[in-house]
Amino acid sequence: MNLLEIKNLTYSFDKKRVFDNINLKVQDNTFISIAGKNCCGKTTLIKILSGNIITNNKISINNIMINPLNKDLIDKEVFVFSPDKQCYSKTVLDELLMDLDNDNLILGKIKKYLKEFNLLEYLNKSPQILNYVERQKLSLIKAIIRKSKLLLMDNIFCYFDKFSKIEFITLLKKYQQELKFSIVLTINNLEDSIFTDRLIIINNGKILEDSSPDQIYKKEKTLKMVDLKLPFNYELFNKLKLYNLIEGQSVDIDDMVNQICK
Amino acid sequence: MQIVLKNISYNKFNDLNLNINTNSIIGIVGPFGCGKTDLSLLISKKISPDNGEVILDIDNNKIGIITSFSFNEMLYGSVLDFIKKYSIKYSYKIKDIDERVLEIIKMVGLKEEILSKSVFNISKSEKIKVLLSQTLLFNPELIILDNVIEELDNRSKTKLFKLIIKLKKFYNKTIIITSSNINLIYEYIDDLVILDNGNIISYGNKYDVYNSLFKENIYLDYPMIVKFSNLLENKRDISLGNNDCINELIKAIYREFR
Repeated sequence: MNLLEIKNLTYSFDKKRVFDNINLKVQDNTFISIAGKNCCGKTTLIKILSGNIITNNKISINNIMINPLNKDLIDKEVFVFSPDKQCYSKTVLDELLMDLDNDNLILGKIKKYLKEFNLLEYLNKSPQILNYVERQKLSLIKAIIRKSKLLLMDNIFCYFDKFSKIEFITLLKKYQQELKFSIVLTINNLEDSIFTDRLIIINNGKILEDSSPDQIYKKEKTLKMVDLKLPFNYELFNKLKLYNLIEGQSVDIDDMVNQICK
Repeated sequence: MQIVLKNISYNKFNDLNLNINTNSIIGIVGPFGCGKTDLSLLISKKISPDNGEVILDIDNNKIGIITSFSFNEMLYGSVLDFIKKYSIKYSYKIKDIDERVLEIIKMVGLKEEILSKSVFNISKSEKIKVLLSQTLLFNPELIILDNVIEELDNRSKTKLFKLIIKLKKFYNKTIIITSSNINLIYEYIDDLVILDNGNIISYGNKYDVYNSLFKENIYLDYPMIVKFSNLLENKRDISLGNNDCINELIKAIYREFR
């Protein structure tokens, strides 16, 4: 079954055509990244999917049409990761309790999550003191507690350092396996598409490519046209191949070093 | 111009000392929450340290800083008014100010049409370029970009760095750029400050900093190009020299292995 279905999405803003007849189906348990130049409509798409921009188009999530009448139903299915501070609770604990029915057993559960996400020290502190990465981790716990089916992330990884990113993705994938949610992540750096299942490239309001990241990395001409830079390993691999400096197919750094020295 | 931080204590910093080379492009990197923004704000004198002193021998209105807070000011008014705001506030007499604005927005890669739009209604990358134009208009000696390049696409980023290099070379500016991702800036910077939890792990020329840390086996997020060349050099006991980008690296490998 399709979790998300977009039919003939056409949308204009400020006299400019942002989307021109876009069709997209996303199954559950899928991790999608969406890339394109600045101003290609990535953020707009996230806003449309979260119901923050209202259009007359046929978009459904879990068979519920996105429209103002279904706002509450959609909010149950979708979780939006925001770059901004948007927690108004007194403590981190209160923030998480908001999403749960009053149940005394639940405190243990919350503590378990906070411990796993390295946030336990903030249990009784204000969410305002969390930094960007910690806020995103708190959001992920909220999405898990709510059992949201679709997680929307608007370029959240661009500010992450490498080690925080690895930690976050590991947790994200662990809970994806358990809860089978899907993720739509917009990116402006193809490094952030390596760990996703499917990469979509938007250009001039249309879907230009829609395939596995590995397949798209091979389309150098297309990538050049939309000015996306290959992830470091892949670019290095291609150029080493071009000059016959390596054989083999691995883009792993250690493998490439071994190949060159062969 | 000199930028000196003496015995600074503030938030995570405890007795921090730093003497920054001016007329260069300096990167400040480190994991999230290590103090990059605090350091930028201290250098720009937007905040005062609890202890210690920041020595910066230029006027406050010769410091241009863009941080994530700058976006909070972009709520109403046209882009043109927003760009001119500080220059008017500091009562600079800029000759033919509107022409100068046009010149600057072209340099950062914006189109003239944007000037009449509302600053609230433009995209994030456009906001960054508008903030840059605002900063460049009052012609600061020191420019600090705190976590702003991350949202730019490849073309905009390359264009921005070309401009930054020009500002350094021909106008003797000092530019400080912070990022959590060293790979985004490594190619373009001269010097580097590596921070971790309020401590300066290393400061100096970027090549020296990374090569010596790598030799000491310090666990760190190395630029991928540095990691790769060091692994290759160690394996074969060769020297590939200092390479800023993949093309240079490939040439060096070709010389050694063909």
